[in-house]
Amino acid sequence: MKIQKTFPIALALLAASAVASSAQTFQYNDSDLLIGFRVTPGSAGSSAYELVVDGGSITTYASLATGTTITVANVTQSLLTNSFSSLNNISWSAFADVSTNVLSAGSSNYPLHALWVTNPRVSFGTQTSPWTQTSYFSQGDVVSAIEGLGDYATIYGSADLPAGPPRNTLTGIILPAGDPLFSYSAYIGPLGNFKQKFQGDVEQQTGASFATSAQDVRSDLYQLFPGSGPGLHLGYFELSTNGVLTYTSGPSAVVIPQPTITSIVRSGTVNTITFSPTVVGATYSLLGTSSLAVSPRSSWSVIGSPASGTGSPMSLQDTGASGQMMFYTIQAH
Amino acid sequence: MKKITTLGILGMLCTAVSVQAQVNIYITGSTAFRASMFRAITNLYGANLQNENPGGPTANNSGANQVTYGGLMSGVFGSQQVTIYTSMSGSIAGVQTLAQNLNVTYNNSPTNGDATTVNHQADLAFSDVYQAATGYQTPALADLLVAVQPFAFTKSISSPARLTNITHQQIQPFFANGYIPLSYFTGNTNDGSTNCYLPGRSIDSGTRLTAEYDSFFAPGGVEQPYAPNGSGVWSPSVGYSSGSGVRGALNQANAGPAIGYLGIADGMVVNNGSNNITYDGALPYLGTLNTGTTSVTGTNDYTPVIKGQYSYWSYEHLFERTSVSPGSSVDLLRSNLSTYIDLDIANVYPKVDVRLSEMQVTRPADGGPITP
Repeated sequence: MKIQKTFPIALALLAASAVASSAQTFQYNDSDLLIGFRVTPGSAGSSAYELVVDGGSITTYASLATGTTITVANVTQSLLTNSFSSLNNISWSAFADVSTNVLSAGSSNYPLHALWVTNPRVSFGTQTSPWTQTSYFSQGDVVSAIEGLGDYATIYGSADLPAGPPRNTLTGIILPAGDPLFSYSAYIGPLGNFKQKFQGDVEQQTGASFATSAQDVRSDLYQLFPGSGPGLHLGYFELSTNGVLTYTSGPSAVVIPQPTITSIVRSGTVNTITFSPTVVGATYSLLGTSSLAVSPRSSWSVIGSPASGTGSPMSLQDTGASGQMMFYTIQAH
Repeated sequence: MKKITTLGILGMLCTAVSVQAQVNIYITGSTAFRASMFRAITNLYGANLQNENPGGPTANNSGANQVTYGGLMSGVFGSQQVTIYTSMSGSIAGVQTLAQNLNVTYNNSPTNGDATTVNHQADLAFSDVYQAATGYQTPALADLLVAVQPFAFTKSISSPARLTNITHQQIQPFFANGYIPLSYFTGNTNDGSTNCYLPGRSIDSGTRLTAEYDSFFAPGGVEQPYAPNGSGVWSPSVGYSSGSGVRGALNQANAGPAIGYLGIADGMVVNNGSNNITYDGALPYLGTLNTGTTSVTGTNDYTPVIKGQYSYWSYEHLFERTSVSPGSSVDLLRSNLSTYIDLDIANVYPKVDVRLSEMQVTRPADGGPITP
């Protein structure tokens, strides 16, 4: 009897909980990381919607231990699939600011008009050049755009959409594409540079065949304090082809594609071995042997000094070639 | 036969009740337009305005945000007792409360001195902006244009004489940051270490939104107002809920240089209207602003607005819900307010608004192109 009496109460509590949960609307808080998604302007993609996600406090990302990777769980499959028919031809970016609030984490105090902004990588494994820090007032223009997006998305969620999924949750909201007041596009602008308030395009693009490419995309996150000089690289976001967004603190491991020897030119006693591709951050060594019986190749003799990758075709030389038959290989690490 | 007689008596009773029914109408919205609204309401009552809270039936509440009126509007509602409740907190707030059926706090009684309040849904909302410019676009409201309202940028009383103009390009970082070096406006290197602040309005304000749209600051950004404390030290603020707050900050002698945006009536209360500065090189009126109360001392020539040389202006809208029946009390009051507002602009001095019939240009949206 006792169980029978409490069961309906438990059900009632569950129901109340469900109502409370579904009644939530999108909420942007000062200095939260906002992540915007839209169909790439001018691409073949189309959607009636754009997506804005609140990724939680920027301090979570700015103070993450180097080498640590976290999943941005608020970017859900439900929000993505209800916003876009596929992940092809999607532009996305992430950003945060300090507007008028006090923001600190541990021993770090962040100044007013600090910005955190993504920079899209052209090459998956190659870190971008940092954005440049600019004046308090110049960065204030971007703060205004970020706060505008957050504030008006919050207003749209409270005034114009039913509360709860699929379009309006506490941490994600699906906005009308291109709306002059309520869309992500209204603030990021057609060129991805906050309507020309920022120095460059902060959006990463997935491309026309992203979903089936097996090639994820990355954007670096930079911290910009009012002032001058390059911003601080904090880490990078990675959007996988199945729609999972992760953030890794610190520099990324350099992905080194296998170099191929493209030519060997002999001049006197010097053999010049040219190879490509190379990447910045990798080191290349020339190894050689007169007999293929020597195995493995890593045990071949190192010839000359290693060289740092340049991102372009490179050459290393064997300056002591005696004229006997030689076999060469390039070791990259 | 007996049944018919009974029905006839009941019918007469119903008619009698209907005739004697009290009309209660609740108004909210634009604070910038409250002076014109006040005069239109009191003129509709005429000599039959029996009471007004606060201040009594002879009070001048043209600058008050919350007033309740009681009496007869014989020309509109015959012998019915008419109570008009007004509580003005901004154009966008007005659109929101009407669209979302939110309660507004009103003075509960027209009896002078009655401090009790009542929360009630609004029937009508004045707005300086189109519904499409606000965050509250559904459900659509029925729009009636009633006037054109010029605005001006006004400097504080402790701003230097050399602060004379603001451009729409300068407005964009000024609004984004809430302050900027005074030299940015004056070009004087000695002003580089002095800040010029923005005593802005709250996000509910149509005056604010019109300024943002007209300068191309919005959409795409959100303004950061500042406010001075009693010592004249400025700090970030959510913005003033009324133009009276802005003019108060501009009149604060120890607060230093500042530029606000105001309706013409509020701007007249800052150094007698002499502190309006040009916007992109123009003022909304020709010559100096006249603040007198006669046709000689209070007329103003708004040719720059009327012909298109000055762009910081908006239509004044009077919204009601589309569910309001034509000919109902709310609808009747709305159409009569429109008529009396137009008469007010034509006959009352100082002249602070422009009649629709005077305009030789139009604009399709807030901040939109102005064309002949």
